[in-house]
Amino acid sequence: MSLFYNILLIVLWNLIVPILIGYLITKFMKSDDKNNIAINFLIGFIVMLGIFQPITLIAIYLKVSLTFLTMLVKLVWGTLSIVSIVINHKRIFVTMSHVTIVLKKFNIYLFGALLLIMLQGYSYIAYEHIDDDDAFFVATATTAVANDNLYVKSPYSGVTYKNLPDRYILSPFSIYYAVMSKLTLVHATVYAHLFLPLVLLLFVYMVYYLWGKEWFQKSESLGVYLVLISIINIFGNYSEFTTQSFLLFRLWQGKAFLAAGILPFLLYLCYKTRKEMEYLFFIALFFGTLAASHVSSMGIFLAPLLIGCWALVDLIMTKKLTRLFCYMLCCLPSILCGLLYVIIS
Amino acid sequence: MFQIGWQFVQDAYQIYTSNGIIQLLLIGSFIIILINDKKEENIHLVYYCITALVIILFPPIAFVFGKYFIGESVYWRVFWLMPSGILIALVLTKLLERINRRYQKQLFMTAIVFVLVLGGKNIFNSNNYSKSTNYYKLPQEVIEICEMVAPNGSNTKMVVPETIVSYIRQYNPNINLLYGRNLGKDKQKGKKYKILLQLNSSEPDTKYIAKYTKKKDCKYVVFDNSSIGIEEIEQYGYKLYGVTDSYTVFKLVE
Repeated sequence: MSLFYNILLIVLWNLIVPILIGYLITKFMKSDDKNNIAINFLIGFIVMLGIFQPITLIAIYLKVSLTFLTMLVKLVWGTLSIVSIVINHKRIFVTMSHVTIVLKKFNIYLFGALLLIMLQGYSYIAYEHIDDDDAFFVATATTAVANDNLYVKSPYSGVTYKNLPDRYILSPFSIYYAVMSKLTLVHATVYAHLFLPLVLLLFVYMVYYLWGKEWFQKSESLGVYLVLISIINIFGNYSEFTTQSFLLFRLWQGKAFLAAGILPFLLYLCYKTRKEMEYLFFIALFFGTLAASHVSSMGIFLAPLLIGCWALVDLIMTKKLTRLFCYMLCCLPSILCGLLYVIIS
Repeated sequence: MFQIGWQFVQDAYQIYTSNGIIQLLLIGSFIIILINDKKEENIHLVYYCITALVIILFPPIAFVFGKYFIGESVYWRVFWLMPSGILIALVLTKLLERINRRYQKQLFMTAIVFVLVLGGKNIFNSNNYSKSTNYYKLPQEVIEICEMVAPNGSNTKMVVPETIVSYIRQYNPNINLLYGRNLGKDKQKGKKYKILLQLNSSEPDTKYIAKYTKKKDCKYVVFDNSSIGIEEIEQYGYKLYGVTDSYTVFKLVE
């Protein structure tokens, strides 16, 4: 298959399908932002990962093949996308026609921000940062594809596992690489190291964009803000453990995506629930904690900690117990994963 | 408990923040929002940050989190809860918005960029990145060795030095390895560990290596070119099969 065909498949499964799923969720929103393509992409992507998490955990438990899992999630994601097209086609068309309005607001600062973001994307295309953790994360995906099974063989040596890696099994982001590799017909390592970071970088900057939209009405200010955050990221290597370093070194790894993308998005969703009292954001938050637990075992703990801190302040400021209850419900996936971890370890 | 927790906090802070100025700018941002901002949700955001900081920096809590939930050596990851970059950029832009005169605005913007650049450290430097030579983003020599021993993704079993052990199965998962990454870290005993020590030593015991690798059906043994006396393995059933810039590959012929 040609590279062009692979890129079309990557665009389909990593951009178009998440956007369509996002439209399905935002269909029922009252918020003015429901037609914003960025929020639809982000919610859709999070929901895709959130749906993928329980399906994958059950698939690992039942020892089904990777091919079966791929068919199943293809069916689920595909059905949601088609349903979305059927019920949202007018709204999608209207949103697309708004692109020209957005382009008219383009200014020198937004252009500068775009250049800086493209520079960061270019670093992922033309350069490499080799990380030994991929001996597990990426090789788990290649091993799954080669053997058509899930966590049966050790990615380190290829021998059959005696004991499953309980630390990682509840956050099987590597299986996501494997499924995407099968859906896009790209080698799992090429997908993880080349294409996935570009998709996730887009995710991260869309989160920043949404934060900027909340604070600034003028597109010039939005541009300045995006320029500044790009500079903060590019010059954020004062330690190799900062969010910025993780963002630009190894975004394909779940923990990096958690730090740079998912946690800031969860915080954004919390911020929106506070600002607009829109309960549908709680649903996105629920899928967000599922996604956090999917990408990294650290997400099982950090996502509820983030929501817990926000909820505590919320309770003190608003004194609304129903909101606290909603926040607690959003943490359920993490609590369940934590309990499962205790049981299997 | 308090002392250990305090140690976790100190180590985490030192590892994460190092000598950057982001933390100072973050505290400045809190103050500016609390003084100037009237929007409840923005104040909520600052209170969230303060609450999270109090929780993660309080030694007894740090002890419990570090020991039972996150991990002592990676406690610094709790700082990921701080939306530092987002908040700093938002506040700086808000300050810029307040300046009406164009030249003052440009001057302030230049000053901000100057502080961020000088106070931080550029990620894009040669210590962090190298020009990629393939779409896999793996060392080119690994691909050469994999294609040499198992062309087009075929099967085989081999043993390689630790320097490339992490990458072989990322390229070709049909190649089984005698030992994988972290063997020496997880388990420092047993025959595999002895092979690891020998294969990665400057003067490997080729007789010992050949005896064990043959027993384990390793079709190929890869040595670092800098190791001395590796050609002696030819006396024990292996023949020179190929050479790359840094590695020499021997194939089992018996």
